Amino acid sequence: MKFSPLRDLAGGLIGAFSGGVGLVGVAAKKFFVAADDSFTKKFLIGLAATALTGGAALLPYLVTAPGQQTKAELAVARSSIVGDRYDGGE
Amino acid sequence: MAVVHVDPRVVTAVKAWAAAGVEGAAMLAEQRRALDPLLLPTLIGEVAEITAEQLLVVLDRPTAPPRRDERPVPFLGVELSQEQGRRAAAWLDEQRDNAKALSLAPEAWSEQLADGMRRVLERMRGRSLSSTASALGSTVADGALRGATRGFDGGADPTSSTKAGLRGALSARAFGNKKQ
Repeated sequence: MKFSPLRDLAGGLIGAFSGGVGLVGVAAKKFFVAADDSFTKKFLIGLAATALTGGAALLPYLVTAPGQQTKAELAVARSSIVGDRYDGGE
Repeated sequence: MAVVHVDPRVVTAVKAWAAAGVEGAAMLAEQRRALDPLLLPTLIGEVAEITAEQLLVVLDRPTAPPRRDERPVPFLGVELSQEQGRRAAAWLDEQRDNAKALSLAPEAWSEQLADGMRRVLERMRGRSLSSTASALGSTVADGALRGATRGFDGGADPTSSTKAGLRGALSARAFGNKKQ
């Protein structure tokens, strides 16, 4: 994937903020976990918060993905045409 | 289609371009600089023909069924689905980089593409193409891209329709990047 300063900086900042500060984990604990909850519930909420933390950093990539996908489709088509053209598709 | 035979140095350059994926234009520029200048016309002809065929191939790839309220995208006088429009816009976008990589003016590159498309249609004669790809191929072979580059100097819009859809995106990414 080509370097994109805006997208990569946004991904890094979101990741650093939500992960480094523990924003998602703190919010999940505040809203969903009570002191007398079972260990399993606390564990699962912690796991979900961890996944969200990582996922949030991927948001800028998800937003820009469709354009990249179309470009990748073009590249695949080109590669296939060139293979057929000079090697008979081998 | 039959295997094409050209100078092996050109084949090597074209294969390197094809293998570079989405970074193809940078690789093409590198290959152009390294190639014997006498072979440059052959390289340009090969890249033009492959790029012309690429448009037909991506337009004929299966698309998701159109939404009920989906409006067709006008592109060089041919109506495309939204998904085909996205592919055509990305293809058009690449042509600016290809022209630059081959050190050609957009007008010269659009003429090469028209010639390339004519050769592709000739080679593909007898093979089934969708009506959309066939119509767009004929339009490009007739020099529609040349008209598009003129259009972006202030003339007609290459999307040539008042219909909505991806028209804005197509215009914004248009050939030569002269109309934004």
